[in-house]
Parts: sequence; C-alpha cells; structure tokens
Amino acid sequence: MTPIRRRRRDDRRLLRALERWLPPSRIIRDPGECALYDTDGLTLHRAPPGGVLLLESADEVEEAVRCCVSHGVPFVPRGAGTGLSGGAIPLDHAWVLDLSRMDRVLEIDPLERTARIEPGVVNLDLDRAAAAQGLRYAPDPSSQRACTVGGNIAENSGGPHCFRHGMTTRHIESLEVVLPDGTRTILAAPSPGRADPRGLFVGSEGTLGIAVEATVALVARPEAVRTQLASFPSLAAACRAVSRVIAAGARPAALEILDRLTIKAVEASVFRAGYPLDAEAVLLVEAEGSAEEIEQETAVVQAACEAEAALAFETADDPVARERLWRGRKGAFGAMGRVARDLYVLDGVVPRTRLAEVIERITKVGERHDLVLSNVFHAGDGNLHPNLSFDARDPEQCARVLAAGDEILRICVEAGGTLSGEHGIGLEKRDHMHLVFDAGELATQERLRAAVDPAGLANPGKVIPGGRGCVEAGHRGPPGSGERTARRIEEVLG
Amino acid sequence: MIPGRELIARLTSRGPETTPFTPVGRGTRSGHLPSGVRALPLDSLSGVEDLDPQEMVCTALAGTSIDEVARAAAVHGLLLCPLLPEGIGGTLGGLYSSGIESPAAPQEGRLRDAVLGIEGWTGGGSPLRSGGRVVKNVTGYDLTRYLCGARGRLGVITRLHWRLRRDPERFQEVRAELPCLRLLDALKALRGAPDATALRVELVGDRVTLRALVEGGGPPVESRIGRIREALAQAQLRSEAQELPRAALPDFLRAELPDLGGGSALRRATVRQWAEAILLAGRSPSARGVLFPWIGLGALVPSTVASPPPELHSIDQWVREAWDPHGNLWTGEEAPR
Repeated sequence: MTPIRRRRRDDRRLLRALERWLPPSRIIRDPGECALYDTDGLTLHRAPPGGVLLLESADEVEEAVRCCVSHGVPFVPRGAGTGLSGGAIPLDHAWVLDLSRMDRVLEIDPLERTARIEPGVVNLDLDRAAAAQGLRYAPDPSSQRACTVGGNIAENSGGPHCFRHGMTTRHIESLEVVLPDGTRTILAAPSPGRADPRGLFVGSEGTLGIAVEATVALVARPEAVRTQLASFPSLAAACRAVSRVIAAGARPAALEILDRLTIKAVEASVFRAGYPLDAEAVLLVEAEGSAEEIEQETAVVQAACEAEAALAFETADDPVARERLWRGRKGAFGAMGRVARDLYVLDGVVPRTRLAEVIERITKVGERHDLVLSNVFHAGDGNLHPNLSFDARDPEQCARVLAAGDEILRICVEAGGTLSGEHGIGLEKRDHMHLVFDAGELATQERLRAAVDPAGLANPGKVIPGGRGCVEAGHRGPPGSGERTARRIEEVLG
Repeated sequence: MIPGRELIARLTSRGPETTPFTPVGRGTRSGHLPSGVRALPLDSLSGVEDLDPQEMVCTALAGTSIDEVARAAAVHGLLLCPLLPEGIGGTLGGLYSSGIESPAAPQEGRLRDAVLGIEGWTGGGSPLRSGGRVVKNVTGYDLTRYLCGARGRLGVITRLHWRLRRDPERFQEVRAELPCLRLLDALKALRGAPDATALRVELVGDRVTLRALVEGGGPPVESRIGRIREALAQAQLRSEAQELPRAALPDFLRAELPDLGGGSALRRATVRQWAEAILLAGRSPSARGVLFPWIGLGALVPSTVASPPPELHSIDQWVREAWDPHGNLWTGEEAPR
C-alpha cells in the first residue's frame, strides 16, 4: 500500500499563487485582522488562521481550494462565524475561506417553491425574500439575523420551527459543492438505487467540501399564526405540559421553554417581552394554520397547561404582540450577556419524555461546579440548551465550565439522547464522540472522511476525534486507496 | 451491539473468486438477481424491539415485516411515517433501502427524514451506526440519510429507528377534472391554497383529474377543504369534495402505473416540466399518466420527460472503495465482478 503523502505545506507559495488572481484587498494576512477570525460563537477556544480570503464567487472558492490543496495548506469555510461548536475555528493555522460576500438570492420560484442562493445569504434575508412571494424558509436558528444559510447547511441547523418543519437537511433540494480536492460537482436527488449524497453533505461541517450554491425548498406562509405563552410554577411542570400537548395529537410549529434565570435576564434587557417574573418557567407555543385549526390547537394547549397548574396563559395573534413574545426567546442568548461576560451554549438532545428528569440532573451539575446555569430549549424536540455563564478571562472558571459541559453531555447520552441536536460536533464535542460511537464505528466514519478528503485539508480537527492528518487518514484507508487518492490529487493538480 | 455479526462474517469471508452479495429482505423489491449475485438474507433478523407511543419512535430489526411494524403501531393509533401506500409488503430494511418517495413529503418529510437512526455493517465488515432514537441528531456524519435508497450497495443495515405519526383515521379528497391544457393554471391556483397532504394528477387522453388529499375531519378540515375548492373556483375550475375510503388510500399514494407498459417508469421533473409533458402527451388519445407534482415524480405514456441515466456519484464510488475494498457487496451493475 502506498501511503498518501500530504503535499509539503508552503504558505508562502500559496500566498504568491493567490495573489495572481485575488486582489490584495481580499487577502488578509495581518495578525491583528486575522485575529477576528480565530474563533466563532464558541469563544472558549481560539486558533489563529494562516490567512483569510474574502471570496465572492463559486469560481473563486474552487480556485482557492485548488490553491490550498496544491500547497498542502488546510482550509476552513466560514459564513457569519455564529456557529456554537467551533466548526469555523481554524485549527492547524488553516486558511479561512470567508463566504459572507456570496450573499445573493439568485432566484425564487413560487411554483416550484424553491430558492436558488449563494451560501453567504443570511438566513433571515432569505426568509424575507421568500415572504415577498408568500413563502418562507422554515429553519430559523436563534442567530437567524446573522447566520448564513451556507453555515446552516454545514451544521444542519435547526431552530424553534424545526419541530414541525424539520431541520435544514429536509429543505435542501440540491447543492453545488467544491469537494476537498477542488473539483466542483452537483449533489441532487439520487437516481433509484443510489445513495443520497445531499444527506451526507448537509451537516458535514466543511469536512467533505464547501457548498457554493444551494437550491432550497420553501414552504407556504401560514394563513394565520398564534403565539401562546404559559407560565409555570416549576420547570418540570412546563416539560410535562409539552408531553401532554404532543400526546393530545396537537402539531404546533414550535414548543419552547425558558427557565426562571433566563426570564429574569430577558426582562432586564432590551429583549424584554413581558414574561412573568414570578414564574419558574415559561412555555412558548406557536400554532399555524387556518383560524379554525388555530382555535382547535389553542384549546389543546391550554388544557395541557391547565392540567399542569399553569400560572397564566396568554395568546397573541397580531404580529406586533407575537413579535414581542418571540423577542424574549430569540434574544435570550444575548440577554444572558447581562449575567456574565461570556456564555457557553450547550446543545444536547434527550427523549422529550425525560426532559424534566434530565433538567433536574443538569441543574445539580451547575450547582456542584458553582456556575450560573440557565436553560432555553426546544422542548418539543427534546433539544436542550443549557447555558453556562462565565468569564473567559478566568482560566479556573473556564476549566469549571468545560468540566460541567462534559458532565451535561454525558447525562444527555445516558438518558438515551445524543451530543448535538443542531449545533454540530465541531471542535467542541469532537472528543465526546466516543460517548456515542465505539472505536470501530468512528473508524468507519473516518474512512468515509478520508475517502472524500484524502489529503485531510478540509477543516482539519473537526467532527472525528484524531482524524486530522492526511497521512494518518491515508494509513487508515483500505488497500488501494492510497494509489487512488494519489492519482486523484495528481489529476486535480494537473 | 449491532445485530447481524454472523451474517457479516459470511459476507466478509467471501473468497476473491466468489460472487458478491446483496442484502435481501423478502425479495419484494429486489426483483430477479442477475447470475453471479448472491442474496444475503436478512429475514432472520426480525422483530420489533421497542415501540414508544409517547416518543412516537419504533426500533426494529431490518428483516421485520412492514406489516408487523404497522400492526404494532396501530395498537397505539400510530402509523409509520411518512404516509406510504399500505400493503406494499416487504421488510422495514427493504423499505429503507428502496428510498421510496412519499407523496406527502412536502408536508412531513421524505422517507429518509422519517428514519431517525440506522445500525449495520459496511461491505468490508466494519460497524456502521448513525443517528438514534431522538428526533434531532447531528452527531457525526448523517449516514442515515445518505444510505437511504442505496439498496444495500454501500452497507448492510440491520437495525432501524423509525419515526411514527398519528393516524388521522379519516381521509378526504378534493377532486377536479379539467383539460390538460388547464393543468398549469390549476397547479398555480393550488399553490395559493392551504396545503393538502398530497396532490395526485391522473391523465387519460387529454383530460386530467386532480386529486388533493386532506387528512382528518371536523370544522378545521372542512374549512381547509373549502379554501382549496375556492382557489380552484377562482381559476374557473369546478371541484368536488368526497370521503376517500381507507381501502382506496394505497392506490392514491402509489406512485406507479402497474398497468402501463414500457416507458412508464417513474421519472423526476419539475412542476413546469411535468405540466408541459402532460400537455404534449395529451395530444394522444391513448395517453395515460400519474403524477405527484409537489414531489416531482410521475409516470407518463407517451413520455417526453427524459430521465438522466443512473450515475454513481463520485462520492459514492470513493465511499464504496473505502468501505468495501474487496467488493463484497454487489454494486447494482448487471455484470458483477
């Protein structure tokens, strides 16, 4: 077997190659400017990039990847840098390929209910463009005012309305991608008897390539929407109310819970939503459909909340009142900035019938580590977001935060859940993957990664523990893959 | 423990001179295997291991019959998700491997979205696991969605975690007959109406019948039906609403034309392409067709919709070489190695 040889890394030659076709203003090498790219939404970790390229077209992305491959330089795609698992942190001095300038909505087709977009389109901008045609883009992460759809594709992002409408992957019709070897290809609905490469690519966190264009599915804007807010004397009661709503056959668009600490932080911030300060938890429920459907669903939700001794129940139909109720939920992470300088937003999933029990255990973890822990979560999906407030300048606090985060993830897995529902694995949870997968299962995933990225240059150090180097990956490959890979790299490089 | 280790030992102990395997459930979808391909029967891996009506999730071995799962779910008023023709037979693993499209996909996701997790083995005998029993899961590569529809050519799936849905118990349909010339107008009108669970278009000669499926009953559903009819009326199209008997549901959902001869194979096209193809086909008095426009699938005779030849994407080729370097699993080509 011929071991795969990674091209000797040469950043200086890469720079010279890039300068031949990219204006100097779009190549960032100054350490001060590069520092802006050394982390993303996961501020617990930082790593300086080798350089940053501000790219404006699919052709440029393709050329940039080819240049990186031919000079043995790792690369990391980046949208708005809002990711919460460190997926865009440039380990190994990777070069950052900033796609935020590729922000055009190329076409909206109301009959086909699709939009063709560049990856740097901001999630909310796409939704607004769709709204002009009576449509909407359903995935709505909390960061939707800033995050890009390309980033959502990389992470398979969710959001409150994914309870009914599904995650990003459900809304991807086709993708044009630049693979880690620099080749450009289309991933579309497969022919019968073929695997669905779209399914593999979405959520691969930039390790299997970079989406340079996407055709996404849009859904009809509902005829009417009602937001309901119920407050509870305990977090457990709010969780049980969620189970009752689902058991009663209701299909709300969103089911979200905020705990007391979050309510207090929200109400003391610019995101003030009028949440009752005497409640231990509030449940936000959104009903969509016709007026009749909404009335029917409201009755179900109200009955479920009353059965759990809800303190108050409020409904909002007009857009201003609804926006007020959602402002608190969408701004919850920002509001937590009042509690401490930094916020570590965890993302675990548990069976929703075990929410109350798991939250109780998580609360004890926060207490044991003497940390401020708040909860905002997608209750309908069992997708928890325990938030730890801390000061990243204090190494001792950081250590406690990481230890608590580790315990919380273990609790989620023990309860029959998993490490991540919508933020991805990235750097944050890479070393927790063994909680879910054994060594053989991880090796299968690593072999897949090495098959698509034999040089190991696409977002190294993410997702799979230990799967960072190309030589390492190559040695794990099957017989013959070394020659094949070497051949492919040579083909790409000409 | 991932089930099926003994089967996989059989697979991986295949000598270089022997023929490759292909996993087979009850053989309902595999058709006739070409000579030189051996069946790897999964029927011994059978049984519903867990069905949680509160979480609406079911775990079953791949060789479990779909009917068995459906019966277990029905006890709790639940159905397998997404809505699929009943009585399609076969096993759960076969259903997953077929990747069959649900006409209700725009409303409740594709088949691959209903499968929450898989366990199994690569052709090289390595364990393979993805997803689990929770409804949201982005832990590791999404092999669950990737391998759905691959017919066991990249791996042998032995256990599945499947999402269930509530049984609405009642189905109704809005029906409109129109000349095929008006199909595009009707489709545009329906885009502005409340979404039906599924939309089926049937072509006979130059006439089409448009059938919108609506689930459930009661005032909210009646109001929904009323607004679908109103949208059609605004396009000067007459419609009627009627109960769809449960026994007629499988035929409604079946994206097949079993009585049509050659050229009726399912094809994929956009809504516009289908409307144009039906217009062309409708010039022939013998034209027949069935179409699910919202998922872009249909069968038409005479057909003017070209399907691209099935291609193995380069990614699949690379993955197959990495996971099954000795070619233990049949690739689906007619002349195996």
